[in-house]
Amino acid sequence: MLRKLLDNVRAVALAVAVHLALLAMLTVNLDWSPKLQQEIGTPEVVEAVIVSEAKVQSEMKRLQKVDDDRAARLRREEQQIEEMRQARETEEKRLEDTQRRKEEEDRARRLAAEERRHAEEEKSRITEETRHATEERRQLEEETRRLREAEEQRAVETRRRTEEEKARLAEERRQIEETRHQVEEERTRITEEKRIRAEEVKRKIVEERKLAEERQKVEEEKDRLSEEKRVRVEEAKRKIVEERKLAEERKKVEEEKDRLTEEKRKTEVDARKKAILEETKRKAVEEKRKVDEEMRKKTEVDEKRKVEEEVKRKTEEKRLTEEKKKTEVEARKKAEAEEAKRKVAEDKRKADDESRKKSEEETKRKAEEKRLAEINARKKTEGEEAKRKASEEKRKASEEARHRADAENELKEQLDRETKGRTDAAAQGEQARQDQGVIDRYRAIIQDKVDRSWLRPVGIERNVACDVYVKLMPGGDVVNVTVKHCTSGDAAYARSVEAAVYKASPLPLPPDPRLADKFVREEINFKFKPRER
Amino acid sequence: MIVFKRLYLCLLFSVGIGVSPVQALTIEINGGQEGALPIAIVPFGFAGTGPSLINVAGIIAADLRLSGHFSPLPEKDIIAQPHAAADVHFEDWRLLGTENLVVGLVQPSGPGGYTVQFELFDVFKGIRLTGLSFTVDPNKNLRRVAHQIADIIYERLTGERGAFNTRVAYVVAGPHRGRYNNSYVLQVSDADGYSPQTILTSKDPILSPAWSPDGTRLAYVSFENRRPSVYVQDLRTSQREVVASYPGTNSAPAWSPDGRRLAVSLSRDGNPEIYILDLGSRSTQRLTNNVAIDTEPSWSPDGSSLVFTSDRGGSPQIYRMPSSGGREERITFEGTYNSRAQFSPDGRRLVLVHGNGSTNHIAILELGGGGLREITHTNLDESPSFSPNGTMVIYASEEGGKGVVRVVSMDGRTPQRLGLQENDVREPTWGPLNKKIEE
Repeated sequence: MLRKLLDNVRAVALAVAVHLALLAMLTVNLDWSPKLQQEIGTPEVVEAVIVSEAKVQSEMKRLQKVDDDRAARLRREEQQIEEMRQARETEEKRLEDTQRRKEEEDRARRLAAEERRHAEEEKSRITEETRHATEERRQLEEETRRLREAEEQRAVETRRRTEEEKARLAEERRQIEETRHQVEEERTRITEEKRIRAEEVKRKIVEERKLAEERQKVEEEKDRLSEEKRVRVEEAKRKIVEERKLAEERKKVEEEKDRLTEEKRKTEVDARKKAILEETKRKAVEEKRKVDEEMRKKTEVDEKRKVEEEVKRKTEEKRLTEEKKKTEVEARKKAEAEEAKRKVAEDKRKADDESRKKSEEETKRKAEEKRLAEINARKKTEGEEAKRKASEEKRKASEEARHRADAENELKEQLDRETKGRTDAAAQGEQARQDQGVIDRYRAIIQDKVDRSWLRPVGIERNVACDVYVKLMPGGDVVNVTVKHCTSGDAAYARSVEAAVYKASPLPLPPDPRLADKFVREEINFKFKPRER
Repeated sequence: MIVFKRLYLCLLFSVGIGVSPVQALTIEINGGQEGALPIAIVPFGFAGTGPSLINVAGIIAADLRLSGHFSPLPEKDIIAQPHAAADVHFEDWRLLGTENLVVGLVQPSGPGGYTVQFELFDVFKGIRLTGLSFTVDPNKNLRRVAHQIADIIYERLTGERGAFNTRVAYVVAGPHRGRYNNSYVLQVSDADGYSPQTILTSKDPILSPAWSPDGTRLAYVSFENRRPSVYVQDLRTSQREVVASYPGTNSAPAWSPDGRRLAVSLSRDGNPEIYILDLGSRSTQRLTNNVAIDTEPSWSPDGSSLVFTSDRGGSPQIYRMPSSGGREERITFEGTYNSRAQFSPDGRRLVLVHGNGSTNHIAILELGGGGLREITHTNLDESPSFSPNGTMVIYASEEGGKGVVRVVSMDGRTPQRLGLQENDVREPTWGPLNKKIEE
């Protein structure tokens, strides 16, 4: 507080001066107010005169009523009073003059005093101001001194800082130098390293080449594997075709057998016919002999002619009969030949149909496989859109596969029906063998479908196997999937296995309910195990 | 009639044949195809007035895609817009081949607040797998809720914890054209790069931010005091203190798993060596002692050992030693340069910067044997850090002369640039897991 006051001497002085001035003005005001009251006092004196005048008038009235005589006295007195009044007035005037003079003098004196006081005040003010000025100068000097000191201090500080900075810079430079040195060392080390590295790189390149070769080998292996798979698929296809061919052949053999039986039967019939014919002939000869005997017995020479005629006629008749019979046999033989021919043609047509169907299916399947392979390739390279499309196509493909399977099934069913319808004498072992064939085929179809719908999670070890049990509805719809056991506890992996089976639903089943039942009756056991890379 | 006849025939046959010797139906599945799981995330419904505040489904889809394990259906291919179980027709989604489906709804609740609900379905089984409803305060981050939902979906479908509702710290380098006062800015954002918060700005470089295990503090190296010093800053109070400012360099802080100690590299006794600094007593314990540079320590998750970078063998390589001191053994032998190793959360592998002469990439080293595997092929990759669930790696790299931050899944399949708004971002580091929401 005090320091603040000292710091602002000038302001404080000014404030004091203002206060003093105000005080002075107030004082002057107070001096003037009594003078105003004095001026007001003069009319009061006049009022007093008026009051005494009224008294005189009332007195005069009373005096007039009592005695007129006294008028003269009164007049004298009045005269006297007048004189006195005049004298008083004069006196008063004189007094007034004196008073005025005195007042004049007083005012003059007062003014003088005032002026003197003012002068004194002015003087004190000036003194004060001078003091102020001095103070200010002193302050200024102080300030300047302080500033100079601060400046000096700052300069010192700056110098110190600069030095410090310089020291720091030197330190830094030293550090940098050190770092550079280290870097230099590092560089030489790196150069050395590089040299070694270059050799290593060379070695690595060789290794890489080796690796590339290995990779190529792996690639080739992969190709080989895929080729193998293709071959396997081909094999399977071939097997199916062969099976079908076998069945065909079997059928043919059966037919051949039938044909042979028929032929035998025909031969037998022919033989019987021949026997009958011979019997008839024999009978006719017998009859003729009998007739001849009779004729010989009954008739004589004339009759002989008749007999001869009769014989002639009969011979003629016989000839005709024979001829007729011969014609009939010939016609029958011709018809039979024609029938055989027709049969051969029919067989050929059937075989043609069969092979045409087969080749058509073959082409279809090949196209399908090619398309699937293309889809797979495309799927790998394209993005999500492609994936979506692929899944769509996959769906279509699976549908088509189903259709295809259905067509196959129909064929198979027909075969089955034929097999069934042929004869009860067909061997049971043969039936079981065929059943197993159908079941194996459908097992392969299901495997393919589940395989294609299995999306393994990324970044998971491959050698995880899962044992899964699946329950189906009669139509092949998956109703329950139980992941019994996985060799790793990875939840995502187990989920993928489960989802694969659900995604493949409905599973294709043999059209023969008897065989389909084998898939439905028990749970199917899927063993998921990715092939090693 | 024909059917009956056939059945009758069949019956006859079955009687005739009996149980045929067909072996038990076992089918081996050896193929399959490796790939990301297709999932459809239907845009969430919004029951309030006006447009929805944020695209919750979009955030979930981006999170799941970032993990590399999922392939969310593009929004344009989403054929129906159900928001609840009653509207879902599984057949539609089966046709698209998506194994899983997510639907949800955002509803206003209370003044300025929201309720967010979602449901997850198994499309082929036709069942609901999980679902949850969240109440969001007006001042809370709605994006956070979307990340939480992504975490729940991820865990339900993969069996591993999700790490989408987490944070990352990084340093942004200037010039900022008036955005920040200083050249170097230390920031923390959501794991997808959104909602950034500035922690510190400085005219001098800031390096090596490191999260405390509980996620409340950051340790970092700042050059503000002329020489690099290690600071620890509380993220809630912004209070900070210098914990290491010895002569020479003080660098590369790494928190011990219990959060009580820092492993640091100090050059106070000559050249940089590994020390352990007790944050309570401020005492230091020297671990390494040789003429080479030893730096960039990282603790194993059980706290028993440390890995660090050392050039004692001529080139920078990774070494390992017990955290109590003892024998140091070299563990990287491939490449001319291996540095900045960090343990995976399960302690079974390391992520590190791997150089082979020309450029540096991020690689994974399997500690149980199995060698080094590069997972990035971008330019000048550095500063790798595991996501707290160990399935992703965040790292810095260069693009057009600027530092960018990328996230890559462990198989290196989906390197994606983080949606950070800043120009030149460096030194990213992934924070710990947040508290789990119970379903």
